This record gives sequence, structure tokens and C-alpha cells, in this order.
Amino acid sequence: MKKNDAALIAVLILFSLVPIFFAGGDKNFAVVKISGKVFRKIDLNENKIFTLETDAGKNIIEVKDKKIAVISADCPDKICVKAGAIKNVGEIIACVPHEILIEIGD
Amino acid sequence: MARRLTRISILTAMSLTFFLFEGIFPTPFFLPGMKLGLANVVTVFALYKLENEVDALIILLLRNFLSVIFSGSPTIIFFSLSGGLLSFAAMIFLKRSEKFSVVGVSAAGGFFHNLGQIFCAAVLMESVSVFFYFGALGIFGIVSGIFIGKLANSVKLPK
Repeated sequence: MKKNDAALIAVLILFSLVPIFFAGGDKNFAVVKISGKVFRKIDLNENKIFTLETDAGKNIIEVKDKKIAVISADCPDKICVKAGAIKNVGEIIACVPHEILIEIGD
Repeated sequence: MARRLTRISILTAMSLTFFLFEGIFPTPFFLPGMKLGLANVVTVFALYKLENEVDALIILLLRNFLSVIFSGSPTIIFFSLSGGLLSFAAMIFLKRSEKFSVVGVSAAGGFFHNLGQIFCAAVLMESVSVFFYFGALGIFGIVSGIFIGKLANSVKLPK
């Protein structure tokens, strides 16, 4: 490892941290977007389970203890289910095959 | 020519094997898609040890297209290509500057790989909030890049 490598790595770490300063929002709400458009704003203080059906497929979403999660989906990769429950501002769950995005903060 | 073709073939097969092997395990980290990227050991190795730099690009592209067929998830091609190509461009630029060692170049490769994927996610999801993930993903990319660089550097190309 050269001296230049350490400088390069330090610069890259700084760049990684830049987006953190732009985070903000209300953690009582989650926004569900389908194909980039806001579909629904969800109050995370009410526990509920609902099904999101689009032409691409089905996702079952659960709100529980101020957290939101996709508990079941019929997409091939199930990345949205594996993402688990989210609760902090800026966190997202994405289901790329169904073009669904859930983000905390309004 | 025969040797070149054989090396490309073997390295592509190895890279695909690493990729699929890593995919068997659930991601041990807290973000989906956050993984070591063992397949990139092959890319870094090829970039530094093969005679033609373009061969590393060929291996990268072949592995990306094959991984779609083997993993059965077509959307990953956008993520693989955006991450892989941005990372490759950054690495070849830094390598040619001759100011950095394989470890630094590979660390930048890991960083730009994740940056490319975040850009891709932002475009596909039409949302900029995905960038909030970059704090963790960028640093994780750098760390795995250092590891990958050291690993790739420690392997010799058989004659």
C-alpha cells in the first residue's frame, strides 16, 4: 500500500459521508411510491396489514410498532422481504421488479 | 491467442462461481445487496495480471450477462452493469495514473461500484432518498475493495 492509497481512501470515505447531512423528515409516516409516484402516505402509529397489488405482482405490507415491512411478495428475488422492517428517516424498502418503494419520512 | 481465450474463459467461470456462491448465503449485513463482491477479485486480478486490460472488461461483461441467466433475476443486470462499468472506468483511470497501488485502486473500485448501483437504484425507483444509504454503502465498498485488492494481489498468474 502506497502513501497515495491512504489519501485516496480518506477522500473516498469523506465523499461517502456527504449524503448523511441531507437526511431529514418525519418518522411517524412512511410513503409508498409505485413507479415513482406517491401512492399512499401511511401513519406508522396504526398497526395494520395491507396488500399492494399492481400489474407486476403482489406485496403484503405490515405496519407494526412504528415499523413498516414487506412480509410477503411474489417477485423472484424477495429483496424487499429480506430488507426487514424499517423505522428511521431515510430508510427505504425497494421492490425493483414491482417498482414499489417504501420510504420513511414524509 | 489460445492461451488468452483459455484465461478469459477460466477467469469468467471463476468469477461467476464466486458470484453464485456468495448469492447462496443470506446477506450477513444489514442492507440488502451489501456483499463482499468476491467476484470482483477476478476483475481486479485480470486488470493487473493479464497482458491486455481489455480482457478484464470482457470477463466483467461476460460474468454480468451470465449471472442474469444463472440467478434468474433480470433486474440485477442494471445494477451489475452500472456498478461494474463505473467501477471499471474508475479503476482503469487510477491504475493508468500510476500513482496508486492495487489496494488503493481496488478500494476506489468498491466505492464506485456501490455509487453506480445507488445511481441505478435512484433512476429505477425515481427517488433520491436511496442516496441516504450511501454513507454505509460507500464505506463498505471501500473496505471490501481493500480486502479484494489484497487478495487479488496475492495470487499469481500461472504460466
